[in-house]
Amino acid sequence: MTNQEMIEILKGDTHGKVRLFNLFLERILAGGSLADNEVPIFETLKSELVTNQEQG
Amino acid sequence: MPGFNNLSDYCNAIDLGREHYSSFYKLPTVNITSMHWFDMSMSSGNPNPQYYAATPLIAQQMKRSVQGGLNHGPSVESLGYDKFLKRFLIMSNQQPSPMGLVLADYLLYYPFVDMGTNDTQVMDNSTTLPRYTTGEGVQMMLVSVAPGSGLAPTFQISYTNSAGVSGRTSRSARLGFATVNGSILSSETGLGTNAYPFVGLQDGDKGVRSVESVTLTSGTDVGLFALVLVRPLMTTCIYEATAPVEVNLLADQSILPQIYDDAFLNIMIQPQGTISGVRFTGEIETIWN
Repeated sequence: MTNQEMIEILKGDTHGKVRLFNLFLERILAGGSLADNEVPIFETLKSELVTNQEQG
Repeated sequence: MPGFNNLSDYCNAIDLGREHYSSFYKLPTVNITSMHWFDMSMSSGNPNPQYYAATPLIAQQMKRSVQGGLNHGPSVESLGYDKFLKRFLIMSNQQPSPMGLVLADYLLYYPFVDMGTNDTQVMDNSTTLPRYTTGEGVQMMLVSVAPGSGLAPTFQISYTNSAGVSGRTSRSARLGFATVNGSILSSETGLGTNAYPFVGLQDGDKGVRSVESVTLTSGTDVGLFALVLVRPLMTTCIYEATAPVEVNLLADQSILPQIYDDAFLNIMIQPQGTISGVRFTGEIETIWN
């Protein structure tokens, strides 16, 4: 997935963000790692989704 | 009145225990281009790294209580005191020295500016500077958060200056060639228009209050960067790996930079080669009165 595609997801709805976050999480749980360009995106998703969950 | 009127006040503050000491270390893992400035706030260590992670193009304040940064001690303004930088020490366990270093208060950032479009990207300024609110002395730097390919497109930034005048235009400049996270893209020198490591401002401007938009005027790339507003506090240099550099602000520079409550302090360096695996350790002391 390109940087621009991930940015569009960040600007989009919660559904897309959850899908992308789960994609990263599955990779991490399988013992993989995130690329340098994916780390800030992952941190943003984690912050937004956890905040939304707590507020919801 | 807060602050120091004379040396006696300074010594009394020490006697009264109005000072704070903390240590830090940073362990970058990137191969940075020689002479290119690098933002250590994204490197592992103590304090923890931060990644300029927030909703694209919406201004985010930076505070010690939220993003971390160097530990400069407790909040003191509510007690009627002002806090100042007293001493700063840093060393590296390896080359590549000499390395220029700037300690800055990171104030606010605009996340995920896209290098892949020539469309004007408009910033959301619902949030304003948390400190240095007029923007006087505040500079802009562009920090890579998703590496490009080194295509170095040119860019221009529209901003409001410290006098409150909007529509000011940065000098047309080129993004740096460095292709690693944390590299400061505004430290590119090919066109001679960046202020190295910061973005060159329009003539006569003394600082930036907010950013209105960013436009890549020629060329594109695949990366992303954060546009960060910082207030430089102190500059020094790590001369060699065998010796630390220590700055006692009063004795060595005759000025005590003020550290505001909840300031996010961090450092940027200009190495002469790769810093992957180089351990930077240091100390920071503050004093208040």
